[in-house]
Amino acid sequence: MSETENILEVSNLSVTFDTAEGAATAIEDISLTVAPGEVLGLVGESGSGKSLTAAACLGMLPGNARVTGSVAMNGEQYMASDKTGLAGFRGRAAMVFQNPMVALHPLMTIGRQMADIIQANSDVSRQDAMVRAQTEIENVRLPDAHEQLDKFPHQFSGGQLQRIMIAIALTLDPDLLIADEPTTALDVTVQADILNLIRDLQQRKNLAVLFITHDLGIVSELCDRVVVVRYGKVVETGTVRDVFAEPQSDYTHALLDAVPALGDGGVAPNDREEPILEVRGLTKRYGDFEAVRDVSFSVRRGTCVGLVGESGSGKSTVAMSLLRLNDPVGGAAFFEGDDILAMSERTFHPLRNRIGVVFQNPYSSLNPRMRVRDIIAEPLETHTDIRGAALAAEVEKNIKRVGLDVEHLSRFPTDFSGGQRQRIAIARALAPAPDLLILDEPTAALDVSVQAQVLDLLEELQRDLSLTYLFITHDLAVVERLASDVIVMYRGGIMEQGPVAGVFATPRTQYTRKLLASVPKLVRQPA
Amino acid sequence: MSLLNPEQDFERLSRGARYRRIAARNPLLVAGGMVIVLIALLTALAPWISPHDPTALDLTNRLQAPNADNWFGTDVLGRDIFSQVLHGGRLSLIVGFMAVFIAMLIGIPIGLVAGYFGGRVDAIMMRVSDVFLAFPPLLLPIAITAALGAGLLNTMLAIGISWFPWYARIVRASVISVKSELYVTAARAMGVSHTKVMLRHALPNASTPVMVQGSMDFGYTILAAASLSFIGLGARPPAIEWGLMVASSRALFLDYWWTAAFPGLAIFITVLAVNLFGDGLRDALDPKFRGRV
Repeated sequence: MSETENILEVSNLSVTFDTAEGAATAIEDISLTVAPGEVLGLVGESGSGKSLTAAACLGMLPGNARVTGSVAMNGEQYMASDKTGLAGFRGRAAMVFQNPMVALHPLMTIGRQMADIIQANSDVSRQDAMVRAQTEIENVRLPDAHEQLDKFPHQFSGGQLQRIMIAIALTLDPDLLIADEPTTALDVTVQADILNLIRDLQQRKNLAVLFITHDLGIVSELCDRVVVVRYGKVVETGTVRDVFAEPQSDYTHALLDAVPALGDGGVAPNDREEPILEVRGLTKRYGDFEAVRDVSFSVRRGTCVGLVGESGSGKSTVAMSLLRLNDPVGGAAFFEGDDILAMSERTFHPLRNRIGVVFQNPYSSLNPRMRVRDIIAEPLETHTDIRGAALAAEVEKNIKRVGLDVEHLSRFPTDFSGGQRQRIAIARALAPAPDLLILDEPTAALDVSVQAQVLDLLEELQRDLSLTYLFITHDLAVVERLASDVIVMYRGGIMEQGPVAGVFATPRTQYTRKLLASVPKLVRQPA
Repeated sequence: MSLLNPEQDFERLSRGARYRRIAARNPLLVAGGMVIVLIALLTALAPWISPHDPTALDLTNRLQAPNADNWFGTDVLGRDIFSQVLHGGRLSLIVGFMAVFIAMLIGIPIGLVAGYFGGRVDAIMMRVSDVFLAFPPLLLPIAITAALGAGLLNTMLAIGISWFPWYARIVRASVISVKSELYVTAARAMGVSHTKVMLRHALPNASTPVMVQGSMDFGYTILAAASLSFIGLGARPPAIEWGLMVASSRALFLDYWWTAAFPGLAIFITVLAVNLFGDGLRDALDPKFRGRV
């Protein structure tokens, strides 16, 4: 492949930021190319510099960035420090960002926003611009395109907005589409639709795509070639098939191994134990909206039950009801035979240390003004008379149990990474020795390698302490790894429940089938 | 890695390093803070460093313009104005500090409870505090001091009472946003009592805007106290206070400018320093500005 054939060619790109503490290198010597009609996956975990690389290509870095290297589009080459030159690439290289909810002006109709962009870039009448906008909306397969133009952003769902963002990106007939984690904020079934759309448009228009993602499954399904980055450096590059089948670097290897694969069959069910928790007919309404509708299931002692569903399915509302943090309008939940929903707060109080909880976002679930020691001690202080040296010993036991050191106790949560914070949250939940742990998307906010470590920890703790888990997640592969039984929720109701192996192998409902089919599959064998 | 998220990077620094970075990026904060410390030191040490007894009369030496012996000149009774300004600052600063303290003492608990529980509790508490906001800012303290009687203690009370709704509102607003943080939910799930959740989790994390508002109000309360003294409702002679000094030179200052200028300048510099400090503090603590390079 000769040089001029490439749509995008990044050579020896380095980015250094001047900060109060001195220079910090964010990207070091990254080179990559995107050929016409090629989909290049740029993969890395958070902080690897993958988004920064894309921003640097279009001259969109903040003022304190020092850039070296060069960027060429269609053979037209600029120094990477030449922001004005690179700005000329915008329009020819269109970008789609992660969160479509905040990318559009909330007070302008879609049609106006699109027409403005079209008119800003070509000399056409308002009417022609609107016609063009409508065509693009049709291209991203939104029904009744004409009516969509008169709507405001809040009238669309996240997936529809991302379609509109793609439509806007394509109005200028770009040679290159840069998609920066375009499906990360979306549900898995919506993600599958968007990925299909991108693949379809890419093939129809022979677009070159630079696809930035942390999800190796997506890379496997969508991309031709892949560049793996870590700490701002290229770790490995090659065709997806070669890299995934035989990764050359240890990091890529570890990354691929960390991805929970769907199709292993789940944990063997355990029918001998009695149920520790039995939920019957749980219903919760917010005004007229039925968030949870007649949900019944049971959790056997010592098992892990996965509660899966997409956003808005009501899975977290169920957790909140079981923790007595909201008031269900109907139903019962028997914890060791007693209906916790019928109890007064006073009667339920002693049970609070037997039902622990770990939340999704470890950046929000730990009080930033409390030391780790006090965070872990809090449930013990609330429920026991343990104080002084005995309390300190308990706290130390729990921090060690989650793989952190005693010296971490005197620090604040902000001193830790996301994975470490989640370990602290787990230590806090374990401190009062609970029987049941409700895990509400405990790994959703973490990088894939960190996620694998936290899952290992949870698995180990369950075995050692004979814990029972109610594991709430949107990630089917995680369920398969930890759970013996699964409950699939959709729009407040249960679609299907049963042993993981059975449900995943032979789903009975259309929705479960769609959910399973939507998960991007990581293929590691040479085809 | 952290460059993508400067805020997170900032959070990872040690406390000392954070303060140093805040200071380096907020010269106003440092300058204001230094002036405040200087003024506080000067006034605190007034009995030892002032060249004259501020109350000593010297009728042979009346209304002298600033000179080598009386740096700021003398007043109508021959008292040294420089010494008076040093001594007068003590009352002004104490009144300013106490008034803000009283306002916080009333306002913070009200805002905390209203914001945390919401609903009817919130509605009742906020409507009550709204009543105090309905008066023009200085009119209420005037009315209260007029009712309670003139005097410094009543001045502080009056300013504190008329100022508290601001604190109630600020605390309420930030408690409402803190309430949605997961650590509050986690604490409730653990069974931590409402009182503890409020004091341990909600209040410390809602305190930043209160600190900023407090530092700004410190200047305004000094000004308000001086105004009250000026119209005869605050400090009374023989007490020495900046506002009172300006008031007592009302008839003189056209001919003898130094009698009003120096206490007035003292008020001006103090309030300016406090406001600069407050602005700097807001910039330093506001998450929007935090970690900006």
